[in-house]
Amino acid sequence: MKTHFPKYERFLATLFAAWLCLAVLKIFKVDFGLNLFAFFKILLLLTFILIILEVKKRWFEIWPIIKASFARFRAGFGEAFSQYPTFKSKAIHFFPLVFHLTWRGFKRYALFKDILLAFCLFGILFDIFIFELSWDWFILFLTGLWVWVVRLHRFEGRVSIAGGLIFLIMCPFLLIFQKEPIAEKAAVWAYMFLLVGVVQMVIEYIKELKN
Amino acid sequence: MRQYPIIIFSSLVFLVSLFLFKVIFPALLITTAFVVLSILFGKFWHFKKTPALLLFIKSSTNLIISIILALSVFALIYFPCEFFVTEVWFWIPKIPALTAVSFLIFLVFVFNLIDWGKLVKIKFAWLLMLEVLVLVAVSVFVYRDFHQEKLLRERLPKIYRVSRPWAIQEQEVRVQGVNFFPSFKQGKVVVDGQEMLIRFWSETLIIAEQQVPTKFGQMNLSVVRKDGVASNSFPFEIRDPATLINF
Repeated sequence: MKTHFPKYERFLATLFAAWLCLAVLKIFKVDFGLNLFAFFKILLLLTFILIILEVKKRWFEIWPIIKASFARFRAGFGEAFSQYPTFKSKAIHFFPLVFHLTWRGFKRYALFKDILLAFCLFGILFDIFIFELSWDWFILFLTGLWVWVVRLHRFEGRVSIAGGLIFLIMCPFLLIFQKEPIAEKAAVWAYMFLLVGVVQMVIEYIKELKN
Repeated sequence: MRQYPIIIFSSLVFLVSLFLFKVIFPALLITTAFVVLSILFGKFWHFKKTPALLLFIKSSTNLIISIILALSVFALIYFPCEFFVTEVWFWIPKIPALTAVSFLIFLVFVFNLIDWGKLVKIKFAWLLMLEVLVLVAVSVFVYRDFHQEKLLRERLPKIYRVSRPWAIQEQEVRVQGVNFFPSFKQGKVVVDGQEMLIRFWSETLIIAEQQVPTKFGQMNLSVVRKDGVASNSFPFEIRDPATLINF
């Protein structure tokens, strides 16, 4: 098992690279006549097997983490429970308690600034390259999220400007390869990033003047 | 000083890609990619003795050689097999999608078992590399020829199965295949010039009835589409009812 495990990992990496290679070749009209979706499903299945094997291999490391998390959660629940002393007698307090716990969990894990940054970036990339339709509310939501991420990470205005420029540079190449819908979305995001960057720079300028 | 070779080679890359694509934008794109990669390579070259980089190079080499060989062997074996099975011998209209995927995964698995890093260090490594290059070149030609030929034949009418090898007058024959056109664009089923009566017509199935024949004997059955394109012929016999015993 120990000797075969790295080989299996290597095999999966090669398989993924092969899939990627075939997908790229297909874009350039070199079609191997393979069903890439079926290939990807098999790849996912094999990755799932790898995850199970990995968990099995590192169970002695994972189990204490699970145990510690569970203990922490139980302690947190006890603390929250103590804030609702009449919970036992009044079932109406159950929903505020659930809300309170959910909000705490959300604040603790989902609002973690790196996760938000990753979510925002992946959201933008998905919007440009994966989603075929364009939703205004989604663009606005992601823009708002980007503003929040900028505030959390204390990014300077030039970070947003750089993002905008990257999308702007992307546009002509996408147009050369006749990917007009993607280029259009990239242009929208270039504008959004430039807008956020300019607003940030104006704010920074005002702050500097005040100082 | 190191910039001069990059400038010379990038100019060459630009000229070659311009010659190949005949359009300036892809050529510019390739040249830019080449320049960026060369600069990155130059930066990495400073860390050539680092164990992490050596490990990275070794794993990447293994990975890339495995993929190239797997795809080459796949092209060398699968494309001719698929072509002969579907276009020449007319066994089946299409090979199941999972067969190709499974075969490629198997090839990746096999080539992944070999440690290419070690093989490169042996005495006649250059010979091995030359063989690999020849294999890749041959596979590119095989891919190009068979794939183009298959694309050319893809839309032609093809018969894969005829329900019976012989018939007498008023007997029905089911002809299964592909690209016969829909029912509103009906063609004809012909046995050496003698037309059969069409009872049912679809893209993949024709039910035809043998009319009173003008001659008997071993002949060839084929489908002629509305646009005049004929399918492959299938051996078919029209028998004389008088010669059949206990019919």
